[in-house]
Amino acid sequence: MNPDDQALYEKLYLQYYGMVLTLSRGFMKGDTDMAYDLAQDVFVNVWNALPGYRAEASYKTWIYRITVNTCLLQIRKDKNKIKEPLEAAVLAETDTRESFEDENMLYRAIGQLEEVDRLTIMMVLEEVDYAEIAQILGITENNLRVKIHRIKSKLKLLIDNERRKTY
Amino acid sequence: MKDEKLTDVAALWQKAKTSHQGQPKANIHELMASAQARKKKALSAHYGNAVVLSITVLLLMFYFYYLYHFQDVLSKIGYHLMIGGLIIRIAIEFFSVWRSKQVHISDTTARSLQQAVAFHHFRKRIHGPVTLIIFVVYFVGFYLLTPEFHKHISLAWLIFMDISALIIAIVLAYIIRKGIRQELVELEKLVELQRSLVSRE
Repeated sequence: MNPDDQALYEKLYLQYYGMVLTLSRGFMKGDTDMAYDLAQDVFVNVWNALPGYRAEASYKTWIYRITVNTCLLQIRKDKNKIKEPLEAAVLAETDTRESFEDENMLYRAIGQLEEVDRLTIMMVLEEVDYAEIAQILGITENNLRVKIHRIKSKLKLLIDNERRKTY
Repeated sequence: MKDEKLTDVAALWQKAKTSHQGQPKANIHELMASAQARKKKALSAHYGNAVVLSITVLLLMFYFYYLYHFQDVLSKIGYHLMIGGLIIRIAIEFFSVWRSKQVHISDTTARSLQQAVAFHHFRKRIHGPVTLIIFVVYFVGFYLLTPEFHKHISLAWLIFMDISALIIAIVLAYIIRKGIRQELVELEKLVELQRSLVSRE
């Protein structure tokens, strides 16, 4: 990799690390350590794919694609490593018992969605445009809208269920 | 969120997100070094089988062509079947590495999944009928050598050699079967992901 690409990689890493980590944490059901490892895997893949970047999509879309595909094609193989939300780990990093419960409940609910749906709804929660999500996933916007509508209804049910269990 | 259905979920998400604003764990240079190391590791894993098989072929060729000159036509057919089978397998290993590189992780998810499914279909065929044919050809070739071996070694050693080969064949058959099963499981999961991606239900 030439020095220009290295500089670009460094810039992408600093700019998009937070975005990748957020998605990773949701995918890993709130497990922070696993999320850090996943984020690192994503950036290893970014490094390997960078020489092939063709500017057909923005860097943000491109990195989202790598994140989603890393979750589905690589990390899925280690599915049994994905644990339920870790109470102690989450609690240590949150302010109060209540915010911990809320967060844990959210990750538990999202974690019950199918993997593709989980990643899709997290991008919606991240306020990524529907057109961009469609571009990341490679499906039509119309298909995506129907899909998101269904995922939202399912997530609402899951959250209500989790609320009943928690409070 | 673009509607009211999950407004509170969006609020919860933002709250969770801000409570975990993470900084990169590895520094950039460590990450680049790790990326390069993983690339090398992946390459050695990819080419590992081909290298082991190539060494086996070289050893067999050395043995059959220079060290031990078989005279019978049956024996010559036998060792050519063994070497030929392994050479085909080596070619397949290289082709498999090329196919694996056709799965582009930076493509759209739909295309990446399609590429991964195509790759695992290919692997299923390779681990299935193709490997089975090569396996049978190799052991038929080996047993074709036994009549000439018998001219030079005692019956006891010949029986020992044939039984050992049979045990190796059984172990390999088990490994092949396991490989086919793993490929099938992987393929099923990928097809399920594909279905989940395009499904509206």
